[in-house]
Amino acid sequence: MGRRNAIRPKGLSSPRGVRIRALLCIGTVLGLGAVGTLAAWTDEATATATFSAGTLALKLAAVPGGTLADSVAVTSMNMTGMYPGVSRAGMVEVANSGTVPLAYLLAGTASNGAGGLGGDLGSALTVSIYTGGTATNNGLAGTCSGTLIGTANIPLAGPLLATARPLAPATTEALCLLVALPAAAATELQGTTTTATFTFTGSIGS
Amino acid sequence: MRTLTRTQNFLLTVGATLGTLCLLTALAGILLGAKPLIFRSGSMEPAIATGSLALSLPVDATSIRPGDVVSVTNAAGVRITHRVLDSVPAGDSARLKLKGDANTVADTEPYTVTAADKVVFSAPLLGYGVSWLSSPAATFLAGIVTAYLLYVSFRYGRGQKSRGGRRAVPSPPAPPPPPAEGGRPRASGGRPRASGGRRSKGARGVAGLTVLALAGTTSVALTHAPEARAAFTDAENMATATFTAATLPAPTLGCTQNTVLLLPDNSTVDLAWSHNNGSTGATGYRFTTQTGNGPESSPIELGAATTARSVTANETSSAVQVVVTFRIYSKYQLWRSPLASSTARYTPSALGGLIPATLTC
Repeated sequence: MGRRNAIRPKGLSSPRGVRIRALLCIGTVLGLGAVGTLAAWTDEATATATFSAGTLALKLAAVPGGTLADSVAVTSMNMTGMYPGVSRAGMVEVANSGTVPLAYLLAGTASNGAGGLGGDLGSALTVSIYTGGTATNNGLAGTCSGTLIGTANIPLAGPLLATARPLAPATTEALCLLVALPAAAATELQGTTTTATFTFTGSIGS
Repeated sequence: MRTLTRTQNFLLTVGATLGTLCLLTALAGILLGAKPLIFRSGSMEPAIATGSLALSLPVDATSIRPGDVVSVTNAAGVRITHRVLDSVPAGDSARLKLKGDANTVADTEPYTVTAADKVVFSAPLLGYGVSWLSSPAATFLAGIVTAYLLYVSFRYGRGQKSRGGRRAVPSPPAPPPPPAEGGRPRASGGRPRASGGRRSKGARGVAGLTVLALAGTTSVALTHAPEARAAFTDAENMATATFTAATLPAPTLGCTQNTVLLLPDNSTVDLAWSHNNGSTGATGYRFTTQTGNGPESSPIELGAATTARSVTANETSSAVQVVVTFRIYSKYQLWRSPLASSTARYTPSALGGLIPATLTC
Protein backbone atom coordinates (compact mmCIF):
# COMPACT_ATOMS: atom_id res chain seq x y z
CA MET A 1 0.00 0.00 0.00
CA GLY A 2 3.04 2.24 0.16
CA ARG A 3 2.15 3.06 3.69
CA ARG A 4 5.70 2.93 4.95
CA ASN A 5 6.69 5.49 2.39
CA ALA A 6 3.80 7.71 3.08
CA ILE A 7 3.86 7.79 6.86
CA ARG A 8 7.01 9.67 7.49
CA PRO A 9 6.51 12.64 5.27
CA LYS A 10 2.91 12.75 6.31
CA GLY A 11 3.75 12.55 10.01
CA LEU A 12 6.34 15.28 9.85
CA SER A 13 4.42 17.51 7.51
CA SER A 14 1.04 17.06 9.11
CA PRO A 15 -0.14 20.00 11.17
CA ARG A 16 0.64 18.05 14.31
CA GLY A 17 4.11 17.06 13.11
CA VAL A 18 4.93 20.61 12.16
CA ARG A 19 3.70 21.98 15.45
CA ILE A 20 5.54 19.41 17.50
CA ARG A 21 8.68 20.25 15.66
CA ALA A 22 8.06 23.90 16.29
CA LEU A 23 7.52 23.24 19.99
CA LEU A 24 10.73 21.24 20.13
CA CYS A 25 12.46 24.27 18.69
CA ILE A 26 11.39 26.22 21.75
CA GLY A 27 13.32 23.76 23.84
CA THR A 28 16.46 24.83 22.08
CA VAL A 29 15.77 28.46 22.65
CA LEU A 30 15.20 27.88 26.32
CA GLY A 31 18.32 25.82 26.58
CA LEU A 32 20.35 28.64 25.21
CA GLY A 33 18.40 31.50 26.64
CA ALA A 34 18.60 30.29 30.20
CA VAL A 35 22.36 30.21 30.29
CA GLY A 36 22.66 33.80 31.35
CA THR A 37 20.38 33.30 34.33
CA LEU A 38 21.84 30.02 35.37
CA ALA A 39 25.32 31.40 35.27
CA ALA A 40 24.25 33.52 38.18
CA TRP A 41 22.98 30.48 40.03
CA THR A 42 26.13 28.50 39.68
CA ASP A 43 29.08 30.88 39.88
CA GLU A 44 30.38 29.48 36.65
CA ALA A 45 30.29 31.89 33.79
CA THR A 46 29.79 29.48 30.98
CA ALA A 47 28.38 32.04 28.61
CA THR A 48 31.73 33.64 28.06
CA ALA A 49 33.86 30.62 27.50
CA THR A 50 37.21 31.48 26.05
CA PHE A 51 39.14 28.72 24.45
CA SER A 52 42.80 28.38 25.16
CA ALA A 53 44.05 27.06 21.90
CA GLY A 54 47.15 29.17 22.41
CA THR A 55 50.54 27.96 23.34
CA LEU A 56 51.93 27.58 26.81
CA ALA A 57 55.63 28.23 26.89
CA LEU A 58 57.69 28.95 29.94
CA LYS A 59 61.30 29.92 29.36
CA LEU A 60 64.20 30.66 31.63
CA ALA A 61 67.32 32.71 31.35
CA ALA A 62 70.28 33.15 33.61
CA VAL A 63 70.86 36.77 34.45
CA PRO A 64 72.84 38.66 33.39
CA GLY A 65 73.52 37.92 29.79
CA GLY A 66 71.58 34.68 29.40
CA THR A 67 69.23 33.91 26.57
CA LEU A 68 65.81 32.38 27.05
CA ALA A 69 65.77 28.61 26.92
CA ASP A 70 63.96 25.66 28.42
CA SER A 71 66.89 24.83 30.63
CA VAL A 72 69.71 27.04 31.72
CA ALA A 73 72.81 26.67 33.86
CA VAL A 74 73.02 29.50 36.34
CA THR A 75 76.78 29.58 36.57
CA SER A 76 76.77 32.74 38.64
CA MET A 77 75.23 30.71 41.43
CA ASN A 78 77.84 27.96 41.37
CA MET A 79 79.90 27.71 44.52
CA THR A 80 83.04 25.81 45.29
CA GLY A 81 84.85 25.56 48.57
CA MET A 82 81.74 26.22 50.61
CA TYR A 83 82.13 26.51 54.35
CA PRO A 84 79.31 26.47 56.85
CA GLY A 85 77.56 29.81 56.79
CA VAL A 86 78.37 30.83 53.23
CA SER A 87 75.75 31.87 50.74
CA ARG A 88 75.52 32.86 47.12
CA ALA A 89 72.90 34.68 45.11
CA GLY A 90 71.97 34.12 41.48
CA MET A 91 69.37 35.57 39.17
CA VAL A 92 66.94 33.62 37.01
CA GLU A 93 64.56 35.29 34.61
CA VAL A 94 61.27 33.47 34.16
CA ALA A 95 59.49 34.31 30.92
CA ASN A 96 56.06 33.51 29.57
CA SER A 97 56.83 33.10 25.89
CA GLY A 98 53.40 31.66 25.12
CA THR A 99 50.15 33.31 24.23
CA VAL A 100 48.13 32.52 27.33
CA PRO A 101 48.53 33.62 30.94
CA LEU A 102 50.16 31.00 33.09
CA ALA A 103 51.07 30.40 36.67
CA TYR A 104 54.29 28.74 37.67
CA LEU A 105 55.55 26.77 40.60
CA LEU A 106 59.13 26.13 41.59
CA ALA A 107 60.61 23.03 43.13
CA GLY A 108 64.18 22.11 43.86
CA THR A 109 65.99 18.81 43.66
CA ALA A 110 69.62 18.00 44.29
CA SER A 111 71.76 15.27 42.85
CA ASN A 112 74.75 14.53 45.00
CA GLY A 113 78.07 13.66 43.45
CA ALA A 114 80.60 11.19 44.74
CA GLY A 115 83.45 12.09 47.03
CA GLY A 116 83.92 13.97 50.23
CA LEU A 117 82.97 12.61 53.60
CA GLY A 118 79.65 11.23 52.38
CA GLY A 119 77.29 13.87 53.69
CA ASP A 120 74.08 14.78 51.88
CA LEU A 121 74.89 18.27 50.67
CA GLY A 122 71.69 18.58 48.65
CA SER A 123 69.58 18.19 51.77
CA ALA A 124 71.69 20.65 53.73
CA LEU A 125 71.43 23.59 51.34
CA THR A 126 68.72 26.15 51.86
CA VAL A 127 67.15 28.66 49.51
CA SER A 128 65.49 32.03 49.88
CA ILE A 129 63.66 33.44 46.89
CA TYR A 130 63.28 37.12 46.17
CA THR A 131 61.49 38.96 43.40
CA GLY A 132 62.23 42.32 41.90
CA GLY A 133 65.77 42.64 43.14
CA THR A 134 69.33 41.99 42.13
CA ALA A 135 71.96 39.54 43.27
CA THR A 136 75.15 40.66 44.95
CA ASN A 137 77.97 38.35 45.93
CA ASN A 138 80.65 39.61 48.23
CA GLY A 139 83.16 36.95 49.09
CA LEU A 140 81.45 34.32 51.17
CA ALA A 141 78.14 36.09 51.50
CA GLY A 142 75.53 36.64 48.82
CA THR A 143 72.56 38.93 49.14
CA CYS A 144 69.38 39.45 47.19
CA SER A 145 67.65 42.79 47.20
CA GLY A 146 63.96 42.84 46.44
CA THR A 147 61.04 41.21 48.19
CA LEU A 148 61.29 37.86 49.90
CA ILE A 149 58.72 35.38 48.62
CA GLY A 150 57.42 33.13 51.37
CA THR A 151 59.87 31.98 54.01
CA ALA A 152 63.61 32.44 54.04
CA ASN A 153 66.03 29.51 54.16
CA ILE A 154 63.74 26.69 53.15
CA PRO A 155 65.32 23.36 52.21
CA LEU A 156 66.49 23.38 48.61
CA ALA A 157 65.15 19.91 47.94
CA GLY A 158 61.39 20.33 47.86
CA PRO A 159 58.68 22.80 46.84
CA LEU A 160 60.07 26.32 46.88
CA LEU A 161 56.95 28.32 46.12
CA ALA A 162 53.88 27.83 48.28
CA THR A 163 51.56 29.37 45.72
CA ALA A 164 51.84 29.57 41.97
CA ARG A 165 53.01 32.89 40.61
CA PRO A 166 50.99 34.29 37.71
CA LEU A 167 52.80 35.42 34.58
CA ALA A 168 51.03 37.18 31.74
CA PRO A 169 51.96 36.41 28.13
CA ALA A 170 55.12 38.14 26.94
CA THR A 171 56.15 39.16 30.43
CA THR A 172 59.04 38.08 32.60
CA GLU A 173 59.78 37.91 36.27
CA ALA A 174 63.29 38.13 37.63
CA LEU A 175 63.87 35.90 40.62
CA CYS A 176 66.89 36.10 42.87
CA LEU A 177 67.77 32.78 44.46
CA LEU A 178 69.94 32.88 47.54
CA VAL A 179 71.48 29.52 48.28
CA ALA A 180 73.14 28.99 51.64
CA LEU A 181 74.99 26.31 53.53
CA PRO A 182 73.81 26.78 57.12
CA ALA A 183 76.39 27.47 59.82
CA ALA A 184 75.30 24.29 61.56
CA ALA A 185 76.22 22.11 58.58
CA ALA A 186 77.48 18.68 59.60
CA THR A 187 81.15 17.82 59.30
CA GLU A 188 80.33 14.93 56.97
CA LEU A 189 79.48 17.49 54.30
CA GLN A 190 83.13 18.36 53.77
CA GLY A 191 84.27 17.84 50.23
CA THR A 192 80.84 16.79 48.99
CA THR A 193 79.33 18.14 45.83
CA THR A 194 75.81 18.43 44.49
CA THR A 195 74.01 19.70 41.43
CA ALA A 196 70.90 21.61 42.31
CA THR A 197 68.05 21.70 39.81
CA PHE A 198 65.35 24.33 40.09
CA THR A 199 62.33 23.16 38.15
CA PHE A 200 59.81 25.72 37.00
CA THR A 201 56.46 24.26 36.03
CA GLY A 202 54.04 26.56 34.28
CA SER A 203 50.38 25.69 33.93
CA ILE A 204 47.07 27.14 32.96
CA GLY A 205 44.06 26.79 35.11
CA SER A 206 45.54 25.70 38.36
CA MET B 1 -3.89 25.44 2.02
CA ARG B 2 -0.60 26.71 3.23
CA THR B 3 2.56 24.75 2.71
CA LEU B 4 6.01 24.91 4.12
CA THR B 5 8.90 26.01 2.00
CA ARG B 6 12.03 23.87 1.93
CA THR B 7 13.85 26.35 4.14
CA GLN B 8 11.05 26.40 6.68
CA ASN B 9 10.95 22.66 6.72
CA PHE B 10 14.72 22.44 7.12
CA LEU B 11 14.76 24.94 9.96
CA LEU B 12 11.95 23.10 11.67
CA THR B 13 13.80 19.82 11.45
CA VAL B 14 17.10 21.29 12.67
CA GLY B 15 15.38 23.08 15.52
CA ALA B 16 13.45 19.98 16.50
CA THR B 17 16.62 17.89 16.36
CA LEU B 18 18.53 20.29 18.58
CA GLY B 19 15.59 20.52 20.93
CA THR B 20 15.34 16.75 21.16
CA LEU B 21 19.07 16.54 21.79
CA CYS B 22 18.61 18.99 24.65
CA LEU B 23 15.79 16.88 26.03
CA LEU B 24 17.85 13.73 25.88
CA THR B 25 20.74 15.50 27.57
CA ALA B 26 18.39 16.74 30.24
CA LEU B 27 16.98 13.26 30.78
CA ALA B 28 20.50 11.81 31.00
CA GLY B 29 21.39 14.53 33.44
CA ILE B 30 18.34 13.88 35.61
CA LEU B 31 18.41 10.11 35.50
CA LEU B 32 22.14 9.36 35.31
CA GLY B 33 23.81 12.53 36.48
CA ALA B 34 25.42 12.92 33.08
CA LYS B 35 27.21 16.18 32.60
CA PRO B 36 28.46 17.74 29.38
CA LEU B 37 31.96 19.24 29.49
CA ILE B 38 33.45 21.82 27.17
CA PHE B 39 37.20 21.51 26.71
CA ARG B 40 38.80 24.91 26.74
CA SER B 41 42.39 23.87 26.29
CA GLY B 42 44.35 21.18 24.57
CA SER B 43 46.09 19.47 27.43
CA MET B 44 44.30 16.21 26.63
CA GLU B 45 45.27 16.22 22.97
CA PRO B 46 45.31 14.22 20.86
CA ALA B 47 42.58 12.21 22.60
CA ILE B 48 40.40 15.25 23.31
CA ALA B 49 41.12 18.43 21.39
CA THR B 50 40.43 22.01 22.36
CA GLY B 51 36.79 22.81 21.73
CA SER B 52 35.60 19.25 22.25
CA LEU B 53 32.36 18.46 23.96
CA ALA B 54 32.49 15.50 26.29
CA LEU B 55 29.84 13.66 28.23
CA SER B 56 30.67 12.52 31.73
CA LEU B 57 28.99 10.24 34.24
CA PRO B 58 29.51 10.46 37.99
CA VAL B 59 31.53 7.63 39.49
CA ASP B 60 32.61 6.79 43.03
CA ALA B 61 36.19 7.64 43.82
CA THR B 62 36.97 4.06 44.70
CA SER B 63 35.99 2.80 41.25
CA ILE B 64 38.38 5.16 39.46
CA ARG B 65 41.22 3.33 37.75
CA PRO B 66 44.44 4.60 36.19
CA GLY B 67 43.79 5.40 32.55
CA ASP B 68 40.33 6.83 33.15
CA VAL B 69 39.73 10.41 32.14
CA VAL B 70 38.01 12.18 35.00
CA SER B 71 36.87 15.68 35.73
CA VAL B 72 37.54 17.14 39.16
CA THR B 73 37.60 20.58 40.71
CA ASN B 74 40.94 21.80 41.99
CA ALA B 75 41.69 23.87 45.07
CA ALA B 76 41.23 27.06 43.11
CA GLY B 77 37.74 25.96 42.11
CA VAL B 78 38.71 25.34 38.52
CA ARG B 79 37.49 22.20 36.84
CA ILE B 80 40.28 20.01 35.54
CA THR B 81 39.73 17.07 33.22
CA HIS B 82 42.76 14.84 32.98
CA ARG B 83 43.79 11.22 32.79
CA VAL B 84 44.32 9.31 36.02
CA LEU B 85 47.93 8.28 36.60
CA ASP B 86 47.45 6.89 40.03
CA SER B 87 44.57 6.44 42.43
CA VAL B 88 45.14 5.76 46.11
CA PRO B 89 41.89 4.84 47.87
CA ALA B 90 41.36 5.96 51.44
CA GLY B 91 38.02 4.96 52.87
CA ASP B 92 35.32 6.13 50.48
CA SER B 93 37.55 8.79 48.98
CA ALA B 94 40.60 8.54 46.79
CA ARG B 95 43.68 10.59 46.20
CA LEU B 96 44.08 11.07 42.46
CA LYS B 97 47.20 11.95 40.56
CA LEU B 98 46.21 13.33 37.18
CA LYS B 99 48.12 14.23 34.05
CA GLY B 100 47.05 15.76 30.78
CA ASP B 101 47.99 13.59 27.81
CA ALA B 102 49.69 16.54 26.16
CA ASN B 103 51.47 17.56 29.34
CA THR B 104 54.97 16.44 30.02
CA VAL B 105 54.45 16.40 33.75
CA ALA B 106 51.63 15.42 36.06
CA ASP B 107 49.47 18.02 37.75
CA THR B 108 51.24 19.49 40.73
CA GLU B 109 48.18 19.24 42.89
CA PRO B 110 46.87 15.86 44.03
CA TYR B 111 43.09 15.72 44.14
CA THR B 112 41.29 14.06 47.03
CA VAL B 113 37.75 13.28 45.97
CA THR B 114 34.84 11.09 46.97
CA ALA B 115 33.35 11.18 43.50
CA ALA B 116 34.36 12.42 40.08
CA ASP B 117 32.87 12.79 36.63
CA LYS B 118 34.28 10.16 34.33
CA VAL B 119 34.41 11.06 30.66
CA VAL B 120 32.59 8.40 28.67
CA PHE B 121 32.33 10.10 25.32
CA SER B 122 33.82 13.06 23.55
CA ALA B 123 33.44 14.67 20.18
CA PRO B 124 35.70 17.30 18.69
CA LEU B 125 34.53 20.82 17.84
CA LEU B 126 31.07 20.47 19.41
CA GLY B 127 32.27 22.45 22.41
CA TYR B 128 32.79 25.45 20.17
CA GLY B 129 29.22 25.01 18.97
CA VAL B 130 27.72 24.79 22.45
CA SER B 131 29.83 27.70 23.57
CA TRP B 132 28.75 29.77 20.59
CA LEU B 133 25.13 28.85 21.07
CA SER B 134 25.41 30.26 24.57
CA SER B 135 26.37 33.66 23.27
CA PRO B 136 23.78 36.46 23.40
CA ALA B 137 23.85 36.81 19.63
CA ALA B 138 23.03 33.16 19.11
CA THR B 139 20.29 33.30 21.70
CA PHE B 140 18.75 36.28 20.01
CA LEU B 141 18.97 34.64 16.61
CA ALA B 142 17.49 31.39 17.88
CA GLY B 143 14.69 33.33 19.50
CA ILE B 144 13.83 35.08 16.26
CA VAL B 145 13.96 31.89 14.24
CA THR B 146 11.88 29.95 16.72
CA ALA B 147 9.27 32.64 16.90
CA TYR B 148 9.15 32.66 13.15
CA LEU B 149 8.81 28.87 12.98
CA LEU B 150 6.06 28.83 15.56
CA TYR B 151 4.22 31.49 13.65
CA VAL B 152 4.60 29.56 10.41
CA SER B 153 3.69 26.22 11.89
CA PHE B 154 0.46 27.37 13.48
CA ARG B 155 -0.55 29.32 10.41
CA TYR B 156 0.15 26.15 8.43
CA GLY B 157 -2.09 24.00 10.54
CA ARG B 158 -4.84 26.58 10.66
CA GLY B 159 -4.84 27.03 6.92
CA GLN B 160 -5.00 23.32 6.19
CA LYS B 161 -7.81 22.49 8.54
CA SER B 162 -9.55 25.75 8.23
CA ARG B 163 -13.24 25.69 8.95
CA GLY B 164 -13.33 29.40 9.14
CA GLY B 165 -13.63 29.65 12.89
CA ARG B 166 -10.09 29.44 14.11
CA ARG B 167 -9.45 33.12 14.39
CA ALA B 168 -9.47 32.82 18.15
CA VAL B 169 -6.07 31.20 18.38
CA PRO B 170 -4.13 33.46 20.63
CA SER B 171 -1.95 35.53 18.43
CA PRO B 172 1.24 34.37 16.90
CA PRO B 173 3.76 33.36 19.49
CA ALA B 174 5.12 36.30 21.23
CA PRO B 175 8.35 37.91 20.20
CA PRO B 176 11.44 35.99 21.27
CA PRO B 177 11.08 35.42 24.95
CA PRO B 178 13.52 37.00 27.32
CA PRO B 179 16.27 34.47 27.84
CA ALA B 180 15.65 33.48 31.40
CA GLU B 181 11.91 33.42 31.44
CA GLY B 182 11.43 32.18 27.92
CA GLY B 183 9.21 29.32 28.98
CA ARG B 184 6.44 31.28 30.56
CA PRO B 185 4.90 33.12 27.65
CA ARG B 186 4.62 29.89 25.73
CA ALA B 187 3.26 27.99 28.64
CA SER B 188 0.54 30.47 29.28
CA GLY B 189 0.03 30.76 25.58
CA GLY B 190 -0.95 27.14 25.50
CA ARG B 191 -3.63 27.30 28.09
CA PRO B 192 -6.31 29.24 26.26
CA ARG B 193 -6.13 26.74 23.48
CA ALA B 194 -6.30 23.86 25.92
CA SER B 195 -9.53 25.23 27.25
CA GLY B 196 -10.68 25.94 23.76
CA GLY B 197 -12.84 22.86 23.77
CA ARG B 198 -11.06 20.53 21.38
CA ARG B 199 -9.45 17.53 22.95
CA SER B 200 -6.58 17.36 20.52
CA LYS B 201 -5.76 20.97 21.26
CA GLY B 202 -5.83 20.24 24.97
CA ALA B 203 -3.54 17.30 24.54
CA ARG B 204 -1.25 19.39 22.44
CA GLY B 205 -1.18 22.04 25.11
CA VAL B 206 -0.19 19.50 27.70
CA ALA B 207 2.44 18.13 25.38
CA GLY B 208 3.70 21.62 24.82
CA LEU B 209 3.93 22.27 28.54
CA THR B 210 5.79 19.02 29.02
CA VAL B 211 8.19 19.91 26.30
CA LEU B 212 8.74 23.31 27.81
CA ALA B 213 9.36 21.87 31.24
CA LEU B 214 11.85 19.40 29.90
CA ALA B 215 13.50 22.05 27.82
CA GLY B 216 13.88 24.19 30.89
CA THR B 217 15.62 21.35 32.61
CA THR B 218 17.77 20.90 29.57
CA SER B 219 18.97 24.39 29.92
CA VAL B 220 20.10 23.49 33.40
CA ALA B 221 22.09 20.57 32.05
CA LEU B 222 23.67 22.63 29.31
CA THR B 223 24.51 25.48 31.59
CA HIS B 224 26.21 23.06 33.89
CA ALA B 225 28.51 22.08 31.06
CA PRO B 226 31.51 23.20 33.05
CA GLU B 227 34.50 24.29 31.11
CA ALA B 228 37.07 21.64 31.61
CA ARG B 229 39.88 24.08 31.52
CA ALA B 230 42.17 21.13 31.47
CA ALA B 231 45.22 22.73 32.99
CA PHE B 232 47.92 22.77 30.43
CA THR B 233 51.24 22.14 32.06
CA ASP B 234 54.43 23.12 30.35
CA ALA B 235 57.50 21.02 30.01
CA GLU B 236 59.82 21.14 32.94
CA ASN B 237 62.04 24.15 32.79
CA MET B 238 65.19 23.79 34.77
CA ALA B 239 67.83 26.08 36.10
CA THR B 240 70.85 24.27 37.44
CA ALA B 241 73.82 25.20 39.54
CA THR B 242 76.50 23.14 41.18
CA PHE B 243 77.69 23.44 44.73
CA THR B 244 80.76 21.93 46.27
CA ALA B 245 81.57 22.03 49.93
CA ALA B 246 85.09 22.74 51.06
CA THR B 247 87.27 20.29 52.93
CA LEU B 248 88.75 21.68 56.09
CA PRO B 249 92.49 20.99 55.82
CA ALA B 250 94.49 19.56 58.68
CA PRO B 251 96.60 22.10 60.56
CA THR B 252 100.35 21.92 60.33
CA LEU B 253 101.95 20.92 63.65
CA GLY B 254 105.59 21.38 64.53
CA CYS B 255 107.70 20.35 67.54
CA THR B 256 110.69 22.37 68.71
CA GLN B 257 112.96 21.83 71.69
CA ASN B 258 112.60 24.36 74.44
CA THR B 259 115.61 26.55 74.99
CA VAL B 260 116.80 28.21 78.16
CA LEU B 261 119.37 30.96 77.83
CA LEU B 262 119.99 29.85 74.25
CA LEU B 263 120.79 26.30 75.39
CA PRO B 264 118.56 23.37 74.55
CA ASP B 265 116.36 22.30 77.42
CA ASN B 266 115.56 18.61 77.15
CA SER B 267 112.79 18.75 79.69
CA THR B 268 110.25 20.68 77.61
CA VAL B 269 109.09 20.68 74.04
CA ASP B 270 107.18 23.50 72.34
CA LEU B 271 104.37 22.53 69.98
CA ALA B 272 103.19 25.12 67.48
CA TRP B 273 100.53 24.81 64.80
CA SER B 274 98.93 26.84 62.13
CA HIS B 275 95.78 26.52 60.16
CA ASN B 276 96.13 27.56 56.55
CA ASN B 277 92.60 27.91 55.35
CA GLY B 278 92.33 31.04 53.30
CA SER B 279 89.97 33.64 54.56
CA THR B 280 87.84 31.47 56.77
CA GLY B 281 90.48 30.38 59.28
CA ALA B 282 89.49 28.05 62.08
CA THR B 283 87.13 28.58 64.96
CA GLY B 284 89.15 26.41 67.34
CA TYR B 285 91.37 23.39 67.89
CA ARG B 286 91.27 20.12 69.78
CA PHE B 287 94.51 18.71 71.26
CA THR B 288 95.32 15.25 72.64
CA THR B 289 98.41 13.43 73.91
CA GLN B 290 99.15 9.70 73.79
CA THR B 291 101.98 8.00 75.64
CA GLY B 292 103.27 4.94 73.88
CA ASN B 293 100.38 2.72 72.99
CA GLY B 294 98.40 3.86 75.97
CA PRO B 295 95.09 5.68 75.93
CA GLU B 296 94.76 9.15 74.53
CA SER B 297 94.50 11.91 77.08
CA SER B 298 91.21 13.66 77.43
CA PRO B 299 91.02 16.29 74.74
CA ILE B 300 91.86 19.89 75.37
CA GLU B 301 89.64 22.31 73.48
CA LEU B 302 91.50 25.42 72.44
CA GLY B 303 90.26 28.66 71.00
CA ALA B 304 91.21 29.95 67.61
CA ALA B 305 93.71 32.36 69.15
CA THR B 306 95.80 29.58 70.73
CA THR B 307 98.40 28.27 68.32
CA ALA B 308 101.16 26.96 70.62
CA ARG B 309 101.51 24.75 73.65
CA SER B 310 104.47 23.62 75.80
CA VAL B 311 104.68 20.10 77.19
CA THR B 312 107.11 19.17 79.94
CA ALA B 313 108.61 15.78 80.65
CA ASN B 314 106.97 15.46 84.03
CA GLU B 315 103.56 15.47 82.42
CA THR B 316 104.43 11.98 81.22
CA SER B 317 104.94 8.91 83.33
CA SER B 318 106.53 5.80 81.99
CA ALA B 319 109.14 3.39 83.35
CA VAL B 320 110.74 2.94 79.99
CA GLN B 321 111.66 5.13 77.07
CA VAL B 322 108.52 5.75 75.04
CA VAL B 323 107.22 7.76 72.12
CA VAL B 324 104.76 10.48 72.97
CA THR B 325 102.31 11.42 70.21
CA PHE B 326 100.63 14.82 70.05
CA ARG B 327 97.56 15.14 67.87
CA ILE B 328 95.52 18.17 66.88
CA TYR B 329 92.69 19.01 64.54
CA SER B 330 91.10 22.27 63.49
CA LYS B 331 87.46 23.12 63.98
CA TYR B 332 85.22 25.31 61.87
CA GLN B 333 81.69 25.51 63.25
CA LEU B 334 80.72 21.83 63.45
CA TRP B 335 83.30 20.78 60.93
CA ARG B 336 86.53 19.17 62.02
CA SER B 337 89.65 18.70 59.97
CA PRO B 338 91.78 15.59 59.63
CA LEU B 339 94.36 15.11 62.38
CA ALA B 340 97.87 16.46 62.35
CA SER B 341 100.39 14.73 64.60
CA SER B 342 103.90 15.14 65.93
CA THR B 343 106.01 12.94 68.23
CA ALA B 344 108.61 13.36 70.96
CA ARG B 345 110.68 10.80 72.83
CA TYR B 346 110.32 10.48 76.59
CA THR B 347 113.15 9.07 78.65
CA PRO B 348 112.38 8.40 82.31
CA SER B 349 114.62 9.65 85.06
CA ALA B 350 117.50 7.39 86.12
CA LEU B 351 119.79 6.76 89.08
CA GLY B 352 117.13 7.62 91.63
CA GLY B 353 116.44 10.97 90.09
CA LEU B 354 120.00 12.14 89.63
CA ILE B 355 119.45 12.11 85.89
CA PRO B 356 116.11 13.86 85.18
CA ALA B 357 113.52 12.65 82.72
CA THR B 358 113.79 14.16 79.29
CA LEU B 359 111.41 14.91 76.44
CA THR B 360 113.02 15.52 73.08
CA CYS B 361 111.53 16.23 69.66
